Amino acid sequence: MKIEDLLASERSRAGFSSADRDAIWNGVERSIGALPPSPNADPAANHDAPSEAGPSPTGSAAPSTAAKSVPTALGTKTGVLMALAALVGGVAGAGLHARLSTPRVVVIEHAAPAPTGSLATSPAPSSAASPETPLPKAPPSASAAPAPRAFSKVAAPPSTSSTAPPKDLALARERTLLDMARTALARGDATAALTAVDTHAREFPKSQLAEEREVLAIQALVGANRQPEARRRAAMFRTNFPNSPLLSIVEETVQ
Amino acid sequence: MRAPLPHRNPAAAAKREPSATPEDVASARELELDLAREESRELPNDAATSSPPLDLRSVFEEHVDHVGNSLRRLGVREADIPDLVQEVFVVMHRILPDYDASRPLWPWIFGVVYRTAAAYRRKAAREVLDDGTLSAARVDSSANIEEAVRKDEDRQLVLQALESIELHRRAVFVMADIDEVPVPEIARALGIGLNTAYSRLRLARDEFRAAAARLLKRRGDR
Repeated sequence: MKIEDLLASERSRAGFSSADRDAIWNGVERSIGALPPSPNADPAANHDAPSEAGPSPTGSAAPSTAAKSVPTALGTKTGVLMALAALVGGVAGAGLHARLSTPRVVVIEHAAPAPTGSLATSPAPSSAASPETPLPKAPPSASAAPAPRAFSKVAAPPSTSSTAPPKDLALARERTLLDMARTALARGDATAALTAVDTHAREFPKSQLAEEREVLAIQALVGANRQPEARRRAAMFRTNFPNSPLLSIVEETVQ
Repeated sequence: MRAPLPHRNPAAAAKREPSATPEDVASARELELDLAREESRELPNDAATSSPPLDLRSVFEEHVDHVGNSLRRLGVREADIPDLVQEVFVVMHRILPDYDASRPLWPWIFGVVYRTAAAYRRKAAREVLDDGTLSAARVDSSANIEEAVRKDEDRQLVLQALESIELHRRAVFVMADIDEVPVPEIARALGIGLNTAYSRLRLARDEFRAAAARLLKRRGDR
């Protein structure tokens, strides 16, 4: 029975990474007063537990979180990578950790690429990390704090979601594949990353996300110790995307 | 958490649900009998709760994933989930003294999850914020990428289908058909009558089936 299979898949959904768990737990402890609040915490927000009356949560839910810039302490390159991870994927793990350990300060504000956008034209998080890397500037609404989230909003008819055009479903599948490549690389599994990247290349030869896929492919090839192929692919990247903000990453990867 | 007494007037209870039919009323009478049976039966205890005072940390370790996934199923946006998980546990910390340790734990937790999600949805912008991003899938082995992608798409489809169900019915459906909690426990945890719970479940199942069929058709049932 297909419905039962679907529900079984959802039932088996994975949980948080241990880093995210720790971050959430730290936030819980701060809120219940077991730990002193971080100096960065918004003093207006972090008073939930003792004074809260009634069953509903206080106004400390998501809309009050603010957009802040990528931490520069991690270095420009990592900062750029984190920003890119946030651009394309979900909330990056490192960004999540930083966000929750200092409550109410969001480190990376996720901004989804516009439906037509390549990386060069999509809105980017305001980034303090890149004087030398030409990431596109965030639109003013995304860089001010507190800011509305820079999701590309899809106005949906009430209580139904089944009107997303096939194009969006395809884009979702593309992002899934690239997310898989990224997480595989993060845990050092270059082979899995290559499989995901090859699947994406096969299914989406003219993808708007090709630029980013190529970066992941090059990183995976280097990770798999296939330097000559990595260099060839980097050369193709230079030809196909000469003005890409990701070019410096590519160059560094194949050094 | 003491639940209100279930309805003693099944016909009236059935009529309060928007689409109660004569069938509903008749079946509600059967449910009244079920109810009497259920109440006289000992409900199973969660093994973890038969030990002395609950420690928030161990509850957290055991249930944090389930809390996060449940919030998602109740329509909380991906990026907001960690904040809301935190709120759920902060609330739990406060009301843990009121928890009746002889009751199963998960339904009680789900009650907190539900109230948290309901408040979130009231506060959040009415528009659906959809950037089309799926949560990053975990791949167990490189050989299973295709299957992992398929499973991930199935999960996404389930979430989309759930979005078409009103929250108060959706909560019953999630508890029953995903978490496999017995309906009497669901009724207690959500503070609703048993008949109401059954009625909502039936409606939600219809809605879910219809939405899933629509979505499956659109994706070509790959």
